Amino acid sequence: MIYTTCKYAPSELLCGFYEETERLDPSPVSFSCADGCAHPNLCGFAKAVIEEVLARGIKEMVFTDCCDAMRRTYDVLLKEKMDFLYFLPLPHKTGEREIRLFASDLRKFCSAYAAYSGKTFSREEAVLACLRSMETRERGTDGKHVSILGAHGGKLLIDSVRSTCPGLEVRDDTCSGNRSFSRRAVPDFETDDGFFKWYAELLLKGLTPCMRMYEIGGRTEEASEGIIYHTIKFCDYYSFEYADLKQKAEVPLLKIETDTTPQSSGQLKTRIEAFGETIGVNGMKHSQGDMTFDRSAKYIAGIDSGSTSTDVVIMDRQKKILGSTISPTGMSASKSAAEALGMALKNAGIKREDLGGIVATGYGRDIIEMEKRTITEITCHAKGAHFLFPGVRTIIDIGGQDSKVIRIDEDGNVAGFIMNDKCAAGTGRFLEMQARALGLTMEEMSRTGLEWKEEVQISNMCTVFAESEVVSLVAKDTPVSDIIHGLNESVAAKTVSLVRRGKGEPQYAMTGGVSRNEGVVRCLSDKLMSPVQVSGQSQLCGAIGAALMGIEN
Amino acid sequence: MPGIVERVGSYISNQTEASPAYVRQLLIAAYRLYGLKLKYLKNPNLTDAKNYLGTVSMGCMVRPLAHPERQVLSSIFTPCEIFHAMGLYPMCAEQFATYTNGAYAEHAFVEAAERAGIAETFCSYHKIVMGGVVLGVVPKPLAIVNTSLACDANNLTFREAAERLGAPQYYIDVPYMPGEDAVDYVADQLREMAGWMQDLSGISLREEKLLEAAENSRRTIRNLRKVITMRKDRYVPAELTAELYEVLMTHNALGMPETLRYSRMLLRDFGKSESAPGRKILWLHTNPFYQGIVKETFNYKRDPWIALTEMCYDSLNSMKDSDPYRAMAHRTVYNSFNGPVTRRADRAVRMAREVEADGAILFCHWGCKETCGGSAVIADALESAGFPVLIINGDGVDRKNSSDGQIGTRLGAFLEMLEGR
Repeated sequence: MIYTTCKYAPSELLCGFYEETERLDPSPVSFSCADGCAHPNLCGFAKAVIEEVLARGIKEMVFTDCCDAMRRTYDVLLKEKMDFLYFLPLPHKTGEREIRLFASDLRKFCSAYAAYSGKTFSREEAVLACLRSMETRERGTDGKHVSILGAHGGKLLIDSVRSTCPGLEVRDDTCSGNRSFSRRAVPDFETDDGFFKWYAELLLKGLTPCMRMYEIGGRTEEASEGIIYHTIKFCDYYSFEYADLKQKAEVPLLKIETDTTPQSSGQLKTRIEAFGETIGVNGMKHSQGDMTFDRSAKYIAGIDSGSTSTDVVIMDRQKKILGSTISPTGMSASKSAAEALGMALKNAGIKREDLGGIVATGYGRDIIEMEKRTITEITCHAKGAHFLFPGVRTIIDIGGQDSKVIRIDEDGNVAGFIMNDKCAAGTGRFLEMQARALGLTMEEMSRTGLEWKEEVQISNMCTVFAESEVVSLVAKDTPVSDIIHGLNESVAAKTVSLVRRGKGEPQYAMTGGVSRNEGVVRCLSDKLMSPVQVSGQSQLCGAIGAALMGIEN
Repeated sequence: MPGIVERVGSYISNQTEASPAYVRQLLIAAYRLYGLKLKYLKNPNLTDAKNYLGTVSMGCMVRPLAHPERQVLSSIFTPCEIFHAMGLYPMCAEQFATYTNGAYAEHAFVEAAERAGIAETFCSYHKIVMGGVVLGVVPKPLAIVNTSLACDANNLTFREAAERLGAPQYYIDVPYMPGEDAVDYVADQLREMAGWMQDLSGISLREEKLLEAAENSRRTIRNLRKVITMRKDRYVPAELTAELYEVLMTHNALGMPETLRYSRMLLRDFGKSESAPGRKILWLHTNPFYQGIVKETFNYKRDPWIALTEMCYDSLNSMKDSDPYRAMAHRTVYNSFNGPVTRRADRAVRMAREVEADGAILFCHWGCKETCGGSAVIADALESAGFPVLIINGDGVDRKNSSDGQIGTRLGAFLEMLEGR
């Protein structure tokens, strides 16, 4: 078995040697080897390939010159003393000159493999393999499907989409998926040279071009239901296409960034579920779960199980909040939810059996062990914010673990959303870390930051770098209030960038724990040149939305 | 308390969205002013050659920015003799990013690019250029000409810039494996590009002018190679910024008479030098010229001294071919950044041996997969040859991706380690 990584790999030539090929689809749990023998700032797929080759003891492999990361992966593996490790140059252009050059490189590859294996190349077998690879492209059965575009997502991503949104037809149109040649006539070759030239042209012009090619026409076919756009951290190519697509796409577009490991499956699930809720594809409903709601009962509970706090709201069918509670999530989401629900019921003065249903949202929504229905926090925040601030079109939610921007329509339905990616920068955690470095509580930080006099720029958004910058400023006797203002500015700048990427528009409202920091809210208002509304009940937004969804459903 | 340059940078940043054309004029004025300062108020810490270098470099930025109708936006690895011979002004994208940082204005450009959807992990040099394009500070040039060498960012930035600015683009594909086939292929493209550029600009390319430019390059390379042989035992003061100016001289500015003049002056400076260097450092890849702790460590210091910067050496290849197109193609294809990283590692060892380096510092610039991914291989090669290596992660142009404290500790410890050897 010869392993490859890219759709431009000359698999059909290897069939000419009666060899099978397999494109690697690795999803390691960590990059413990790759971070050492390569560098942490290499794309996740490249690092995953290194991990896979080492873990499986792969001995025969062909790389193509598809990107910087694959070049360096090949370089790193050169030290591993594999039996056959080949790097095939690949032109970026597809004219006559390039076809001639590539044909010559394919011939060199063939000679190298023949010399290594001692086998003879069969042109007839290679041609048959080419015919088999023509027009095997996946297409939706009734033309309705969701297309995964962008960088390699592999089985991990596809399975995640399919399991999160059952019934959704998914097509893998990423750089490694859907490999098939456009159909074309096969001439009678008199010599191998003629075949190599024809095969070079087939590879260069017969595949949907990936973003590394100079000519990239015909890459994006219209997906009828929606597009999930996948990028990998430190892969350059696909953010450019995404930037273009987000201006032009006429169907819902979800951007997901992963590193090929199974980490952050919670974040991934939330986004895909919310996307499914937005497009309502194949009858997928907002809520999932096993609870049957009692429509005659007067009260509904909404639970928002977040990473930092668990918030509960008890509401009657007239949408009046009867009781609520905000309590720390602690070590067990389930236990915290049960306790918080108990407290909220007590505040409301009603009993558990009076509840007609429970709707849970937030990261812990599926973990909570109680009969309930679940809805993503994106949909619930939209609903809750519409209830708290009826005119609002953009919600900025900065929580402890992530930040998100949700656009809503006049009825409180999600029109689009965007979340930050696996990084503490610009989240509540960022401010918590800096407050700790300054020896302040979050409340003190919020208060002190309002007394600033001089602009101080915190240039680092990386939480660790910013912390050392804060320590340096303290050492230079910079007033603490000025430092905090600098931090607030920095969080606001990061958030405004997210708002613009998410095409946010006035009116704005802010929810989540950071909305209690008046300094950040003021900085945000200044940068957006529009007031940002907050409410004393902002932190309950998700729970309110969950309860409202329960009432409306 | 921010200084005057920081305040000006902050003012420029705040104006980028409202009036990009005004910001462009401000930047041109600032660079002109700085060029005059370099010309008339010479830096006493540097020799004549290095002072001259600053003024030449400044001109290479001001001319294309002020005359977009003659500007050819290019990547650092694009051979530019054809443009010099036609009286066109290549604007090096990486130099634009460096100068934007020099004006303390990179933040607004980076933010604009990220807002447009460009990944945070994209090379900051290219991100700043993209920010300039998105904001409208980078004007529509006469043309865009770039190579695929040396990284993926070239395949993205210039195509996107061409589309956004509505500018014609010529893309020079440099095959991954050096060889004569590759030289012929690149020479063919350069010939085609020269014809394309004449049609586009209405300016004729006179053969004698191109031959003259190629001869300038050949002589410059010969002089700079001679300088390298002198670096092992002669010290001439260096500065991080001047090292980057020299990177421009050994790439886009090759072919200019001013570059040839600089190489002669530098040869003279080294010839006159009677001072022996202290600990000699081979600096690999670009450098964070703005970063306080790195400046304090190296600028104008005899010990430690940056004896050689890799990027001032990578293109000093033979240009023996009498056909100027093949000569330029040969230089480009055999650049040490092309092909497997083992080529770069081998050249790093050769450089370290030539200057008898005490150690090497490999700067992993944010977003550079070519260098980050190959850093372990390069470090292994140097260490096996007996040269200690320090790998630093930082950013050549974006202040927010670099930490003084973290780099300072590593740098200090490495230099202490070299002292103890």
